[in-house]
Amino acid sequence: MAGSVLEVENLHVTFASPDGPVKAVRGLDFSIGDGESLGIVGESGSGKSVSMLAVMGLLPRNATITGSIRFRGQELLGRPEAELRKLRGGKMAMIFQDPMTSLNPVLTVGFQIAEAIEAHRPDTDRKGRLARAAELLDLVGIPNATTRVRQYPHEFSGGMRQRAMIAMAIANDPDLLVADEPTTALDVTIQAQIMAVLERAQEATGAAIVLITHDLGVVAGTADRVMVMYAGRAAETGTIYDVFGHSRHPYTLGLLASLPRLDDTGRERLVPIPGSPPSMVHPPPGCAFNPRCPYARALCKAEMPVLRPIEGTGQCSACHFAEDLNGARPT
Amino acid sequence: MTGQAVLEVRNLVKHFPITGGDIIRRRVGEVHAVCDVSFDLFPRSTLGLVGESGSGKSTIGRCLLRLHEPTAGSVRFEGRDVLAMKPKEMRRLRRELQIVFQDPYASLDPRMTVGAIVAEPLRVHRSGNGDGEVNDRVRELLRLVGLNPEHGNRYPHEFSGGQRQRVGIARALALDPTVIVLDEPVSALDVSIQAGVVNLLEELQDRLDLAYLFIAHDLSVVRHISDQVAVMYLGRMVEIGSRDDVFTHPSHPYTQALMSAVPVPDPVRERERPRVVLTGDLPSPSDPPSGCRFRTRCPKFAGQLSEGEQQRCIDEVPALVDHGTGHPAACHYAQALTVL
Amino acid sequence: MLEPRPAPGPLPGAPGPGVPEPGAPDELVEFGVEVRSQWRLVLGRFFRHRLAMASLFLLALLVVVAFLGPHLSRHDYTKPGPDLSQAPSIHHWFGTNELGIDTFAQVQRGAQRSIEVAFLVAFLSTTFGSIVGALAGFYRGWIDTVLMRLTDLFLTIPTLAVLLVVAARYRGSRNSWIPIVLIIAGFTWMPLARLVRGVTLSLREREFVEAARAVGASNARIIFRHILPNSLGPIIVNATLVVAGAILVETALSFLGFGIQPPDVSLGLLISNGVQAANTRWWLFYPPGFFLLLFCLAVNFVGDGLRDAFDPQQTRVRA
Repeated sequence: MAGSVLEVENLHVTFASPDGPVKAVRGLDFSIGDGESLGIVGESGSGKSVSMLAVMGLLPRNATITGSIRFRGQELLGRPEAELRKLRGGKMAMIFQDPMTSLNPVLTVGFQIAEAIEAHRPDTDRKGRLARAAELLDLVGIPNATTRVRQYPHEFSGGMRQRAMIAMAIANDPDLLVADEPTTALDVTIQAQIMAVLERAQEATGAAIVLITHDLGVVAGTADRVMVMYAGRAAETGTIYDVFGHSRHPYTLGLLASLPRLDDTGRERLVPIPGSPPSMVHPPPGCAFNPRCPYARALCKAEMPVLRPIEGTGQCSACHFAEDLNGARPT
Repeated sequence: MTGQAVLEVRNLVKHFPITGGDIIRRRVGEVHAVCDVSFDLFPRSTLGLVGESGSGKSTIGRCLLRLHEPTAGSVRFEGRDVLAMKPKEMRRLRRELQIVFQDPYASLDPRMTVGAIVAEPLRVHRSGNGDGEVNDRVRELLRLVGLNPEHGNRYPHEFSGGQRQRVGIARALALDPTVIVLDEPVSALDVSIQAGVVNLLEELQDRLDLAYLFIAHDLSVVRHISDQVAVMYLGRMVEIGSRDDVFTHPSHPYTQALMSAVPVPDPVRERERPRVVLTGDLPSPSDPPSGCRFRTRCPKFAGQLSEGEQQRCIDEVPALVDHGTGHPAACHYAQALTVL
Repeated sequence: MLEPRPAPGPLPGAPGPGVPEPGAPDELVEFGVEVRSQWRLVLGRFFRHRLAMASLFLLALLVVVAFLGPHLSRHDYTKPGPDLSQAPSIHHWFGTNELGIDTFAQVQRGAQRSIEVAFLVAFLSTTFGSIVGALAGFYRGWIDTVLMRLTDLFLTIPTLAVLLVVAARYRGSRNSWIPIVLIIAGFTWMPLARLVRGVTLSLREREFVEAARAVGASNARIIFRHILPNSLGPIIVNATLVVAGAILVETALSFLGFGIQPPDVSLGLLISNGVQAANTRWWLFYPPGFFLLLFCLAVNFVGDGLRDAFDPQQTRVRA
């Protein structure tokens, strides 16, 4: 596909564990185009982080990964670590959730950014790298960048550390930027600032962004397209307006109905989704959501639904009865 | 809100010492966690206490139960002075004033069965005659919070986060309290589970005539459950009023910025909202700014005030009074703004 | 309709399927949850540790042999006999010494005494050390300072020297082993006190301790019902290591003549008596030494296994 940065096909990730194999990702398909912004939404156990860690090649050794992951047409699965390392931090970069622990406390921030530059551009000289580090800190909105470059992580606040992480990620002009819950550990006013920084980073590099989060509000504000994941599979994909306005999967509907909204004026009862997220060692047969789904029928337990495009819309849904839903709200 | 307040807090102050020194530890500084906070909690109502990290909201909750000893101020429960109580009296008070913690994984002793955890308050206070009555009460409580009473002999790690939080709530209800302090009770739970626990809390409030102090940073949940709302910043209360008042006409620049920053799961609204963006970072709580603590990040201070007006913000601590907007706000130049 | 589906125990880090949330439709499938207490999980991990399991069997065997000794061999460890200085034979499995006393009987009795001393020392020092550590860690302030300086004091005193001086007082008395136990216990509690203090310091900040305080639990209740049970892991591991250490200290003391006194017998005394004959009458020296070696190795491996069982390495999976 021309202009696509990342293509994932039939991705399966299984972990060995003393209780049996944990099927964290069970057949995931999606793709991201140049400069696009994709939000991956799901709760714990959905497999959203694991799937992107698989893309970056950052999973531990007890993980079995099958399927296909193509970055600009080149297959990543099965590549030797040395080649993956060339891509990681260069054309593909990742930002993690906890800014407190992602930075090395005994090295200055400037040094760590320069390190990221050096790993992919060994021809640059030290002075040039530090200057570039200061430039990047400035780009992400850290005041007094030239002084800050020589400071240590403990002298930075949580929000500033996350900005520094973003600076490190964009240091080598990536084509793909993965942000794994980048604002979950931050206060909401800082969260707003960081989301603005991410937007600016995307503009500066033209990179495609994958935003992994459990917060539907965050995704609503920044993503172009969104993929809702449940129990290791995609439940629904589509543009942000389609998925939020005309959901085609009961899980998405359930999530939206259970959220208290800041602009809710009434005291309407929240509608929770009954039950809890399933065990990934023994996921329910058929559609994994069927035990909690208010619309479940016999077919849902018998057959696992495939993610398919819904005619007349740009959405895809993994629900046998997606056509009948049309944005209805569950009672 | 009519009637007598069940909990009256006046001028509450809590400072934490910062110790240093080698052989003998000396006090080298103080963290001003809570400064001069006053509010009332009425029976059968919920006061939502909102703020971000460093606001002091959790500390207030713990001070009310004397899990931290306040540095100054007064707390009156049904007219009785809580801070002056002797240990025996305090123990009796604990039957009426309880707390539910944030982390469902850390607030339950992993070595005790869930039944034993819920029974502990009963055993500590020797309530109920003999094991039979205690066990019956435990089963009743588990049923009340929506758990299967047969599962009382299981351990916390066998339950999900939402279920564990229900156990914490059952424990808090064991002695039939009047007031429950809820410290971020749903923040650590999955989104689809939060709604169930919030509904349970509302149901219990109606059924058992409880008053809640609901401490949270999630404004959406607070809007849903509270009758009154108070906003905290860096140890001070900056705005307080009825829920509808505060949410539809926020008057303090911090409240406005806070509401502006909370994302709404609606792409159309989210992209069209007016934004009040804060600059800079939270000042250190051991060295807060003089006068109005919010002035270092306040968009009003930076953009709309004259020098003379700014000087007032630097010199004078703004009082939490109604400046004509309908409810108290601690800003010299408070102005109601519609942010949603 | 829908039958309950059995599921294995919950995953680390993942929410377990359990009771359906209230208000759920009746067709909701209930997942079976296996009752697995923390102890079962720990034991499970221990049983999987092969070296520790083998050592546990060996240890059990040694203890059984030592304590059932009089019923196994026909000889009394005090009665001299006609066969003097005999090499091992069918009548005397470990041979005899210069007085004709059966060596096997002696080794059994010696082992029994040494093991008794070791376990008793471990029990006393563990109990005392845990309480000191828990009090210091829980109350902090001046209690902590006083208790920890006391601990430091005991740590800096040269143990063996003091032991020798005190043991010399009881030399020649009948029940010499009781003061020996007390003395050794008195000098082995300190590391555990330090350890328990550290664990207590971290546990007291945990929310479930705050919750107990909020409910009105007394300090004693919090220490004994909440903090100590949660510290059992490191305590048990440490206790097993103290057993090995204690038996070696007792051996050293007895070897020097300051420990267990004749007519009572211990491994150290046997080794001491047999050291001169090591080359000529090897059966007097090597069996007690070998027993000691096996015992200590077994105890150490069991301790290792316990440490792993209480604190396994897990690769946590974030989804």
